[in-house]
Formats: sequence, C-alpha cells, structure tokens
Amino acid sequence: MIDVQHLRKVYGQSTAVDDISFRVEPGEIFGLLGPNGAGKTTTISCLCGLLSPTSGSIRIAGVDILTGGVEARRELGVVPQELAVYLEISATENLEYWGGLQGLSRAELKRRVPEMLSRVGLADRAKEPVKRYSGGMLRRLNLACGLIHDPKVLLLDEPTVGIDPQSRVHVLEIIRERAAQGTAVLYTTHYMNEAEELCKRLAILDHGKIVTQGTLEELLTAAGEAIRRQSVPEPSLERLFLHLTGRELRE
Amino acid sequence: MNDILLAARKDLLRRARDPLSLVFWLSIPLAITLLFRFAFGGDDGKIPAAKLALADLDDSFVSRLIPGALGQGALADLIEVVPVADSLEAYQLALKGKVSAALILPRGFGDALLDRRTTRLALFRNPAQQVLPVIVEEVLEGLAEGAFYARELLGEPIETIRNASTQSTRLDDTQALGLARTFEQIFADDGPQIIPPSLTVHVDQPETPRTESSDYFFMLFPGLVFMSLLFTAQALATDLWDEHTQGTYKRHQVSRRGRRAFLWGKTIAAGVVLLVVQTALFGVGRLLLGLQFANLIPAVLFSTLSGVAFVSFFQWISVVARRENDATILMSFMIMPLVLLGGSFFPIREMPPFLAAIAERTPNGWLAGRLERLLAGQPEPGALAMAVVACALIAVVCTKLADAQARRRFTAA
Repeated sequence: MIDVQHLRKVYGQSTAVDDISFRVEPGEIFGLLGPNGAGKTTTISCLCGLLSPTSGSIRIAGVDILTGGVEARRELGVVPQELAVYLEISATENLEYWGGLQGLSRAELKRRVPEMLSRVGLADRAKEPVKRYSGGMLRRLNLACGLIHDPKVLLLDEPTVGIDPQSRVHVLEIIRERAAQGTAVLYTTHYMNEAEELCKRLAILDHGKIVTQGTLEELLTAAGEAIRRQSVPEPSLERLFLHLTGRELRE
Repeated sequence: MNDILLAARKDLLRRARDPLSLVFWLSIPLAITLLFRFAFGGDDGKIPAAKLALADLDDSFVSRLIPGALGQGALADLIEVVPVADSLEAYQLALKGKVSAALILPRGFGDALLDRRTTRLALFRNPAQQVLPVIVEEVLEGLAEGAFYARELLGEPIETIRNASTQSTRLDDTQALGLARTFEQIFADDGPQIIPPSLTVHVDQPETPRTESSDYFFMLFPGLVFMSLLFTAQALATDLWDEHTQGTYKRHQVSRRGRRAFLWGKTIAAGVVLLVVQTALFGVGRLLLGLQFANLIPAVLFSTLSGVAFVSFFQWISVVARRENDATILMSFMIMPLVLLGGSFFPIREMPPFLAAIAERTPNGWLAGRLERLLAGQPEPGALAMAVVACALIAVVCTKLADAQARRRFTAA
C-alpha cells in the first residue's frame, strides 16, 4: 500500500532524507519515529506529494505519487500535526468541505458526515463553530477530516499532541479500527509508549537515515541485548530509541 | 468548477461567521466617506452661509439698516448676521473660528454717511478660513456702494427727517405727505436696486450641461472607493498566511481536488465580499451624492472587478514575502503611496498639474478616473474596456503567480 524505495530529499547542501526504503502493508500500522529534524516531516511531505523527492520512488496504493498525483491523493488520508480545520465554521461544515474536495458526492457526504461525527464523539456539538472546541475535540475533528473519504492509506503526523488521555485513547482506537478494516497507516509520534502500543512495525529515523526497522520484538531483541548489557535492566522502546539516536537535545 | 465554488462557499461561510471583519471593512470606507461628505459638502450645491459678527457701536437709524440689508433676499443665503455688543466680542468670535468675519460699525457712522463724510468700517477676517471671509468682504463692498447711491438719492428727505429728529420738532401733515410722495417716487424708480442694496449673484453657466462631477465630493468619491478597495484587498490577501499557519493550506494541497480550488475559490469569495462592501459604499454614495441608479450598477461591478485585481495582486505579493509580517509591511509600503497619490484624499482634478500627472498614472488613480466617468453617466467606452480587460488579466495572472509561489513558499519542509 505504501512503498517507498531509496527516497532522497536534498536541500542545497543539506540532505534531509537519505536513501530510505520501507513498505507499509494494508491493515498495518507502521511507526516512523525520530527526534526533531530527523526527516520525518520531509518524508511525509514527499509521501503526500507536497515535496518532490530528489530521487527514489513512492507508490501509494500502487500509484506513483509523482506521475499519478490526483489518483494517489484520492486514496490518501492525511492528518497533519497542525489542527488543519477552519475554526469559524462548524464540524459538519468542515467535514462536508474536506469530503467535497476529496470528490465525495452530496449523497455520500450526507451519509458519511454524521457517521464520522458520531465515531469521533462530536455528534452532539456538530453545529457549533469549531473555535469553541477543546484541544481534544479539535484533534478528533482533525482526524475525522483525514478519514472522511475512507482512504486506503493514512498518514498520521503526531495526531495526539497535547490532548487529554480520554481523547488520546479514542483517537488510538479509531486508528486501530481503520487498520483492522485494511487501511495502511503510517504513524509518527514522539510518544514511545503510543508507538509500542499501536505499531506492528517501526522504523527509527535519524539524520535522514533509517537506523533500524522491524517489529517491536525484532528491534528489542536485536538492539535490546546491547542496552541490557549496559546495565539497563529491562529494555523498552524509549530506551532503544535513545540508545540509537543519542541523548543530545535536538532543534 | 464545483470544487472552486465549494472553496469559495467555504470562505464566504468563514466571512459570514466573522461579521466583525465584514463590519470593519464596511465601516472604515463608510466612516471616511461620511467624514469627507461633511467636510466638503454634498450634491445640493448650497454654499454654506458665512457667519458675520456685527458690532453696531453707532446704533443709529442708518446703521440699523445694515443688518436688515444683509438679511434680505439672496444675501440671507450667503451671510448670517450674529449681532454682538462690542468690537472685542466680535474680534474674539472671529479669532475663535466661530464666525467668518467681524464687522464693526463705528460711532458716528450714520451721521458721516448722511453728511457725505468719509467713514471707515472695520472688517476682521477669520484667518483660518479662505473662502467665506472673501464672500463677506465682497458683499460688504457691494453694500457700501449701494449706501453711496442711497445717500445720493434719498439725501434730501432723510436730511429733513434727521433735522426734525435732532430739533425735536414734529413734521406737519403737508411736510409728511411731501416726504411720503418723495420716498414713493424714489422707491418706484430706483428703490429695488438700492434699499436694501439688491445684489444679484451671477453664476457663469458652463457650455456643457452641469453634471454631478462638478461637485467636489463627487470628484473625491471614486478615490475614496479605491482607498476602501485597497485596504479591503490587503486584508483579504493576508488570509493566505492564516491558511498556511493553521495548516489548512497543506490540507488543500494533499486533497484530491483542493490544489486548484484553493486560490481560485479564494479569489471568487473575495469578489463576493467586495461586491457587498462596494454595494453598501455606493448605496451611501447615492444617498449623499444623489448618484443615478442606472450609473450605480456598472460602477459597482467595475469597482468590484478592480478590487478582485487588487486582491489577486496582493495575494501574490503576500507570498513573495518570506513571513506574514514582511507581507503586511510590503503591502502597506505599496498601498500608502497609492492612497496618498491616487486621489483618495484630494481629487486628482484639483491637484497641481505635476501631481495630477503622477496620480493619473497610479493604478488606483487611473481606475478612479474611469469610475468617475461611469458615475457621471459619461463613460469612455474605449478606456473602460481597456480597464476591464486589464483588471481581468491582472486577476488571472496574479492568481496563477500566487498559486505557484504559495506552493514554493508554504510546502517547503
């Protein structure tokens, strides 16, 4: 569903993404982890066609994102880190708008918008201007806007930043549900416990390169031994992450 | 096309849900229009009356004729007499700007006039006013001339009355009848011209029929319209940065049909917003200037199209800038000289020639000229067509440029 091969993105002298390759299968949640400036956002921007790669290929649902942009975007749902919704209008109007831009018909919108509002727990406040929503509600609406057209591929860029535990659990449940329905999910986060809980496979990105990738068990088995030997009693994804990417502060 | 209309509808919904912005865009030009209207007058063609503080220190039969003369006929429309007790009060009123001029009738004025002696009337002009004190001065010159002729014609009967008054003697019936017949004869022959001095204001009629464009405020109105358009266009253009900041720009770019729809929808929505603002502004213009309804519709459409061209241009300029603040500063640097030079504060036709030549070459000044002709019901088809094509072309080209530049500016990681 998502097939990235030898992706490179260079800005002048700086290489933001350096020859990375990974695949995300239908129904799989793939975690892309990395400190700030590691290249996650550049990778996602290339995946959704915002940036053209310097080299390499990206296929979304079997369609090359460079040559078949519109077709690829039809199957793509993006939930950006920013709350990319219009605060002046209601949740219903937001969903109708973003759904409309994905090509949903009036009839489809009429059916899907209430379903989606109900699924993200906003049905009872659907007519209110979104600016009255709490942070958690806005995050749920942000997610709903990415899901309204029922995409086969979902790119989630830190979708749970700054929300309450209830909303977070709710968001994670919806993502799992989507994956169970066959959607390929690429998930980035700084919360390691979230990635541990959610992702079937993971890649850790640093300085534009993938330093490791595999299932959680594979990663912990391969690199966890080394951590244990360094007197850490129980390996965890967070310790593995810090071990691989270092402890120095990033931008 | 549906996706563009969808995007336009979304922007209009946002505007409708944020009525304060709309009220602001409406109120600024309306407030400025009303301010200028009250500062420069409207279409009724009335010249404001000049207030004249009059201190009659003589208090004689003759001096009391002066306020009476000034309050007669056409003069009453030109001059409003404010009687005051003494010269000090008269001067103070003029200095404080309460009156246009102060006139002092000195003691002995009446006797001097009747005795054919030279006398001096003191007129103090309000230094803060240019036109109205001149009107007072000219009227008084006419009045003085009238008084001279009145003295010549009525000297004998007035002398008889004065002598009787000073000697406290009564005129007998024969004398009174003789005086009455003399006055009757003089009034019948020359009276209408001299008592009170009858002044006829002669207005030179231009060869071409008078149009509304001869009114100062009318000349200023198109400039005000373009000032409103420029400021509204700037505010609408900065919405691009708001969309970028809140992430909605990127969401458009990754959606199936949002790329094309985003900016074209915004341009169409801006057109609708401008149409609303312009309709309100021209509605006020109609009330204040008595603009003809038939001229209003093409004028509103023309100014709206001009506004869309400005919005598109500023959208492009705003994304040429690296940051939102830079965009605001850049646009302000462009708008302020355009407003100052383009006839928004002073009609181009009233400018000194070198300044008018510059003003007519500013985009808003040039378009305001076309708009003025439209409002006057005297459009120049060639120039108007050129303006319409230019605005449409600028709107299309700048929207495309802004679209390309926004992608470069906003999608860089």
